[in-house]
Amino acid sequence: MIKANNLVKTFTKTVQKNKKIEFNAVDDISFEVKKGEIVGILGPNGAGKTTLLRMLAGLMTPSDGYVSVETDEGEIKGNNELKRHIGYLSANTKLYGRFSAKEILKFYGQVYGMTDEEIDKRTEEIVKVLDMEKFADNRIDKLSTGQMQRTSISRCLIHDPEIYIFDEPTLGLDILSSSAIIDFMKAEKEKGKTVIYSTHYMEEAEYMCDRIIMIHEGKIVCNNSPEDLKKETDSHNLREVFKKLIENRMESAANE
Amino acid sequence: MNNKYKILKTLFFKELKDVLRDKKALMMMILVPVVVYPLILLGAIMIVSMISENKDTVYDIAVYNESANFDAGNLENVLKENAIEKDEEDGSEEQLYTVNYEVVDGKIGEEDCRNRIDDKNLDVYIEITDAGDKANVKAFYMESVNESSEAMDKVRRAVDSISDSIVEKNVESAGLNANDLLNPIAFEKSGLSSDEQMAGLFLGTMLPMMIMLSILISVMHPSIDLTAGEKERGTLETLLMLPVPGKYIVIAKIFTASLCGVVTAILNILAMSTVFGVILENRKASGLFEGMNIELSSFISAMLVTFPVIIVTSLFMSAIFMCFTCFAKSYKEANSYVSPIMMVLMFLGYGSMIPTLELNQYVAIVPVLNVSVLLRDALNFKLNYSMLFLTLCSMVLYSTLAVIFFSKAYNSENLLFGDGKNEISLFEKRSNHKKGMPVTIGDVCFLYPFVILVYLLFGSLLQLKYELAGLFLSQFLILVGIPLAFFIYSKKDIKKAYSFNKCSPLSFVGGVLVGCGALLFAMLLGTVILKTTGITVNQGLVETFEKFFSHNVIVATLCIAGTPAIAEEMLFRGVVFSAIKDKMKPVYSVLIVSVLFGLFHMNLLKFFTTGAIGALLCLIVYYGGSIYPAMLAHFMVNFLSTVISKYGTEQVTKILSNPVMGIIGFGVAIAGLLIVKYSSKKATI
Repeated sequence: MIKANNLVKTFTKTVQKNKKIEFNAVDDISFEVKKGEIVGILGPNGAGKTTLLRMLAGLMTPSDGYVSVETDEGEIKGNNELKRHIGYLSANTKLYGRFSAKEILKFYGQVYGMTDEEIDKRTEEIVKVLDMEKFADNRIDKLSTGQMQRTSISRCLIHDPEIYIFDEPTLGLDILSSSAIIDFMKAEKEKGKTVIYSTHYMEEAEYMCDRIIMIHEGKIVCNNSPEDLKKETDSHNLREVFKKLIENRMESAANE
Repeated sequence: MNNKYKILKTLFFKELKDVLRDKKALMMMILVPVVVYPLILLGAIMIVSMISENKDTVYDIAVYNESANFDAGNLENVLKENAIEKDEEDGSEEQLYTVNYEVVDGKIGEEDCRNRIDDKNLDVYIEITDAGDKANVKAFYMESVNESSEAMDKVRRAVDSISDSIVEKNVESAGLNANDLLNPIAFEKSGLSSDEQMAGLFLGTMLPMMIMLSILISVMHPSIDLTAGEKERGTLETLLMLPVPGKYIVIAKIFTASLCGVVTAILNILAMSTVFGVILENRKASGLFEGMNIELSSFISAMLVTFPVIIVTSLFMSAIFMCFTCFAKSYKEANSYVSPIMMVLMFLGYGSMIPTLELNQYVAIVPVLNVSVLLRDALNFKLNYSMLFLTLCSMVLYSTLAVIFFSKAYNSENLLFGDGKNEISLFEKRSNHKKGMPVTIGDVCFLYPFVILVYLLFGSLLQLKYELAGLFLSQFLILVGIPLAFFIYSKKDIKKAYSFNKCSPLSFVGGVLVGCGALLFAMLLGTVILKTTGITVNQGLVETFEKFFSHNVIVATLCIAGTPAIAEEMLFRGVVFSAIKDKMKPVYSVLIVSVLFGLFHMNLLKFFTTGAIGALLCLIVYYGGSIYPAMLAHFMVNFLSTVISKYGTEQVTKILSNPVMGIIGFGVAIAGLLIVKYSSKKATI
């Protein structure tokens, strides 16, 4: 289980020359995601999704609040400890073009403190599951986009994390590649893993997620299952829910 | 502990592999030093030998003679004789160049002459007329044409020798000895430099610059690639997902870039040595080192010095580059940041080519310039070990500062995820600091090199200018002021940082004993080192010391003894020791403090003596828990050594540096420490 406790991230923005203002990209967000749950983080561009996910993954240090992961060994805090239990992937994470997939897996495994036998065994499993046999030894800069994405996923699997955090993993992928990722997430959920992911594809989120957290300007707008959300807002699909909720917010903000 | 090194090793090998698979980096690393530089050197030598004349060079000389006094045929003979070199040993002859001598019937006009020289069928035109009894030889040539001016030299020499022989003939016909009259003074020069020294002079100007340049070029590419290049390719976020502290990643990157520099420099040296060897083998053909008998083994000491120099230079350059390239978001942007730095570093690297630049204590703390000059001195067999020590220390200090800066910059989120107009702050905002925190090892890592470098740069200047007041100012402003300002800014627990704790009066007695004992022991140590290695104290230091005494003697003594006793204790036994004492075994923390204290004195002999004193002083703080007895002990050391060096006769010094006295001193110091320990225990009960 992963828990966000009153997370705040403050950035400074230069408005005009020499004039800076501070604003909260993430403003007091708290929620928890249980084992075996897939949670979708939705929101318009600039809502603070990426910042939130980076803090959850231990890439960024919150200005206030903290992230904790509950494992069999107890509660875990601190960026480097978090990273051990989390597999993080975003549309921006690229891989070293001059290495092969197997070399990357080996390198990451070694840094996670795995023994060579463990790495070999795990690599074999991953290559099989993700169907990477054909290209696992090729240099990454020679691979196609779909192959690269699969290699990226394999990278965050090597240390067998309990929690996956994906930041727009299907962005810019064709249907086959993106469905491979969606299938993968579903399969991991079945194994009892926790998945948090952000996306702009509403149909995908509706199909995938047990729960939807919508955020707007750094604050949570709603946190519920897709069915309940549809009922609450009297909508047919998630796309409508999104439009209604976010537009509502924007209007009330404009009225204030 | 073991795990740390394993992770560092993994990170390092990954970065190394990444760089080695990059063709661009490999080119810079191997092709340039191994192929390009030797080719440039060979090319330069070939050009030199091409420019210099050989037997294929033909000088066309045209002569118009209307003089009755001048024998043009004689001129031709002399010119042609001069073109042949006779070996006196075996009598063989060698044609150096060819003279094409032509007597013309009519005068050649200046314009015509110029055209013919331009067309290369004439080099010098000689017009010989009569002016009374004298022959008037007028030679026309073009100064701007190489061959023409060379031919002119030959003509000049020939005419001079003809003129000499005429004088000789006239003098002898007057019944005098021509040789005595013409050469009243016999002059003979005799070069004392060995052949190795001559070769060293040549190598000393060329090689340091080449090594600096090759390190610069080889380090530049990985420095950019591993920072800005990584950001551009988008792998940075992936790398940061690793559960390792940012400083590991930074260290792995800097080591990788430095290793490239080291490898390149070594390859470069090997390639250059090969070229040098080839030149030596063919020294006759190349004209360089001709007739010299060079023992290559005499350069081994220079080679040994070169090795640490290469390492610190590579480290320094890669750290400096990365400090700037980490701000760039693309390779291109990084390149434009690096160019001006490269210019400055190159300029500093050319230092070895300035023959008048001496490696003194000021030059030794200018980065890159110091190593360049140091290498030259090593090749010239003029190596000064104190300066070597100072140079290496200052380079390491600069590198440490650069690494810390890079590490801070690299780990700032603003820089990693920022959108462009990012700024980083070296120090966290004051409001973010918690009150009363202890000083950390990280603080010391930054403070020590910074304070020492500032002290080296400005402290000695202050002392030279304001003498005693300068000593006082430099010690308190720099050694105490800088850390104190930092502590106040970051709201540290100052009492704890300096171990300003109460102590019993008895511990001061212990302090006095440790001080006296430590000095005796250090004197013994100094004598032993002096006798076994021959390393001495820097002369400059003795001179400044003498200057201090031009003031009131009592004030001077108190100032020399008291100022460092307070300021240096606050820095070393205060700040440094309190930061590390709880983090490691006492043995290591005392050792580190004494090494840092020894390094601070920037002299190889003093490193050992002051290091030993520093260790004993540190033990006072360790056992007593308070800095005051250590200050008193330090005062005693300085006071006594000042009094001895000022008033002590040779006799006194001799007795005091006796081994027995040294051992007694050590015993006294231990007794003092026991008293300190005993009194502090009593106080706590």
